[in-house]
Amino acid sequence: MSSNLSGDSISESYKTSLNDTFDENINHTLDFEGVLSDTRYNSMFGVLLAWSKVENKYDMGQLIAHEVAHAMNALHRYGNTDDEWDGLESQQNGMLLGPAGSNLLDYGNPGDLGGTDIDLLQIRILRASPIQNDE
Amino acid sequence: MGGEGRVKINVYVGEPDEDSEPVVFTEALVVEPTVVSYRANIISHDSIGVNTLASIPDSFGVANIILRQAGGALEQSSNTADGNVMLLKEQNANDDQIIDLSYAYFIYSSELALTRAVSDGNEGRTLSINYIPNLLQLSFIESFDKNPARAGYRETHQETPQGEIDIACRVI
Repeated sequence: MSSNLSGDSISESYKTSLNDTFDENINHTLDFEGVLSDTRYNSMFGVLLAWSKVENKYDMGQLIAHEVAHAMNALHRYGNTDDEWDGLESQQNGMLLGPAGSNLLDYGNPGDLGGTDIDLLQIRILRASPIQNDE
Repeated sequence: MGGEGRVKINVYVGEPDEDSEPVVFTEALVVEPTVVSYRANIISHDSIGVNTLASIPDSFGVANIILRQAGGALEQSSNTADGNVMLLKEQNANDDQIIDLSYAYFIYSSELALTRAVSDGNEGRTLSINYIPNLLQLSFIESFDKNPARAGYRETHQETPQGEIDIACRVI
């Protein structure tokens, strides 16, 4: 994907999260997920969500949005996880650094969900997902 | 009109004139609203009982407030066609194993491992219950064996099967 977001003036809207150091003169690369399929099931896609560790409807709403964002190719941003990440935050020893920040794709420690912010780059990823308008 | 566009918003102190410089600016994307249709399932088991997760509709409302930032909204699919029951048939399913709650399908599985402590190896099998091809499937289970949630399966990104965006940031 070519970048149409590059430029010599970037507003704070492009900050990746409250944890972002907003580095000067640094080129970042935002990675996103590719296809993932189970060959036993034709054209199946979606996510599983566990309800037992979610305390209320608001946290469940955040969890739904977070997981749907994964289904739409977005990767984790920040938090305590050894899962893949989108490359915009610092990691250490193969782990993202916790605790979770303000971004929807941050990954919290157990019981500590991420935030709700979606930045402009993530919007580009989500809106390019093919799972929209399927009906 | 139509299409999408990038908007720059300058913020001034007081009433700006032609010589005023913004103290800060922010940006937004103006986009056409889009809908992501989904089918929701609640996978249960006799030992768990009837937990219909009645607050799920409210939770989708919360999710849509969040996803509105991307100009998107989740909407329950109007497609009520029978989904995949292959796995249930293997379990000697009977007619009451799939119950339409209007906001989700409540489904009993005789295999506890498909809703409690679901492992990597069982994710696809669990998600396959009542799925329809090419429709986003959101299936609620009791728990995973490790993480509180995991993403399942995705379609290919429109532009590349896997990719990256390069961005340049500079302090202004």
